[in-house]
Amino acid sequence: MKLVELRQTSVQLGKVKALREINLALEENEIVTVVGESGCGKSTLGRAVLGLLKPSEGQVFYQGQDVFAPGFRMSDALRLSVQVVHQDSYASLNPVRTVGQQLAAPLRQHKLPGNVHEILTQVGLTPAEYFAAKLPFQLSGGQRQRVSLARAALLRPRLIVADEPVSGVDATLRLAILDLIRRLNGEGIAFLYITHDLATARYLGRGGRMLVMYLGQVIETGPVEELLDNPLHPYLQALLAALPPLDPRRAREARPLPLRSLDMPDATNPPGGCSFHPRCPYAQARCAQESPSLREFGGQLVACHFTGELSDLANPPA
Amino acid sequence: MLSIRNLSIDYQLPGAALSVLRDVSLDFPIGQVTAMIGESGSGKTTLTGAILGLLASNARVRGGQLLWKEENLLGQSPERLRKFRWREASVVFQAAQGAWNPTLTIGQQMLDTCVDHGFPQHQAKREELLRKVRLSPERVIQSYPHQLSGGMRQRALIALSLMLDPELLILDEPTTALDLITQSYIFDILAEIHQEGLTMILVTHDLAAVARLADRVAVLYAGTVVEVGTAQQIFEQPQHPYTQVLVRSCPDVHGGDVVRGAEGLPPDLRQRPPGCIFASRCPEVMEKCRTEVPALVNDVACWRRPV
Repeated sequence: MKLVELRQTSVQLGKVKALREINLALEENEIVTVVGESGCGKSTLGRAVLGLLKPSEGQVFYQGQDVFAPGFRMSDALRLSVQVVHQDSYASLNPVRTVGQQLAAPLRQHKLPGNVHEILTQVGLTPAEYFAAKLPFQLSGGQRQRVSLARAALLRPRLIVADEPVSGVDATLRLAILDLIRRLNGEGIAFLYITHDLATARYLGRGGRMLVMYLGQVIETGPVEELLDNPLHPYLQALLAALPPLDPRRAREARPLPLRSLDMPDATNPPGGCSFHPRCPYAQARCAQESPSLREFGGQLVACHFTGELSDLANPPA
Repeated sequence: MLSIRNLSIDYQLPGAALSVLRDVSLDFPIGQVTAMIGESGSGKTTLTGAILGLLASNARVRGGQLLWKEENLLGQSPERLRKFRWREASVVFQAAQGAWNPTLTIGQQMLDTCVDHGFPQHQAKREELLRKVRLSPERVIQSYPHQLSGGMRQRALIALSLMLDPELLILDEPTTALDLITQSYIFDILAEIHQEGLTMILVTHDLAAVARLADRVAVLYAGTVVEVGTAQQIFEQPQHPYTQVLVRSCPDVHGGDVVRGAEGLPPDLRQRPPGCIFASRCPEVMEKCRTEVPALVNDVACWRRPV
């Protein structure tokens, strides 16, 4: 069953059209990753999936029900089926309540069964009694993020939206949190993993689908491994080229980025046609006129007029 | 040129002292980029503060020396340190932190820096440096910080750091919180500046930045240097068990193997453990590690090395 579905969903935030005609169906028990740079709309996408943003166009469905349809009232069960984990674990926990208190609160509020100590043990915070008595400031960033995951998982959701959950966690502790997410996924929770970090996207999202966003649109989507090993959209190609290899010799080889311009266009006034065309090294006249829709190519969907023909185009990167 | 000798620093807290740096010795050779890498709590920010004479008011230097061309900077007068800062050593802070004054134009702040340090207002230099970091002087000089993107502000900050021709440039997380494409561009600019011979200290937790820019690397863990080496050595043949975890637990975008991180947490610095600082998390720990502190011998501080 589709847990959450966005159909032709656009979201307007002030002057910016932060999401433009997004189609996304999140199935039970999958991990979908969303990547892109700051301002691409990936966090807005997360908030739309959480039902926090009323679309300016299109719909948001929870288990088949249009949640913004006139007169629709979301049941508690439906609302609780989608939870969130934020990037800033400190800001997202109550600083003056112990871990145990703040985990117990939603259970009490919604009169749900659930065991705080059991979930703490499950997320690796043992002995549970010890951690239940702690205040957030007494924990490390990694431990706090485990509390956030525990809080989200405690309500037995079908889906957790995780927005940059490990960006603030030290490198040597990051993998353990990602592994914990995989474990929770193994217990039947689907995840929408939102990140700017392609490497952790590949690690956590392995075997699943990935969406690449640019200026509010999905420009390429498909299996994670396919996308990262064989990027088809020129923007994804540029992103991967910008990532220095973790090898000093190779990292120093001169490799100009396949981009015509470094700067992201003004989001309040995105370029017409393909929004990437002013920066695209392969751009043709058609790209400035006509916005490409997602087309299938191999196992991927790509929003580019010239997928598969890029190497033949007249002005390849230097 | 800059040499740290047995530096120990504590932070005085109510009822306890936090031992953030313990017996740190490090050399920063002329013309090289030396990276200091470590995670939160490793002491890299304190070390930067100590070099610049900008430690928090509750910091206590317990011992050691900070030798700048044979002059010990520790305990120097505020006037001397003021001259040292920016004229001799300047710093590029993390982009997310507000290093610019929001109420003055970029151009004005660049000139103010000259005036404050007793130099004439060097307008031509300002333009030359902005061009060097690939910004358009016409646009940027008149702009207020909020009118520029994060990447442009960071490039302008690099230009500002070079206004007084420093001999040492400290880069404190220079690309953290910036987009990949912007990061890549800033790496290129910094690599170019480095080729002109400027000595740099790169403080970061980002291994990609280290691979791209550093000649030498010092690995800090809980206020202790556990390993030093060339960038190539650190990435290809890390010796210390902590360095091995740090370098190999980083997921690879191309799907290469990763090693599980170290279990557990860094030690409580209010009570340093008696032995090796990494003993509580080390996969290779033995009896001696828990009781005796290993010295940095042949670039690694570990009782297990050489194997």
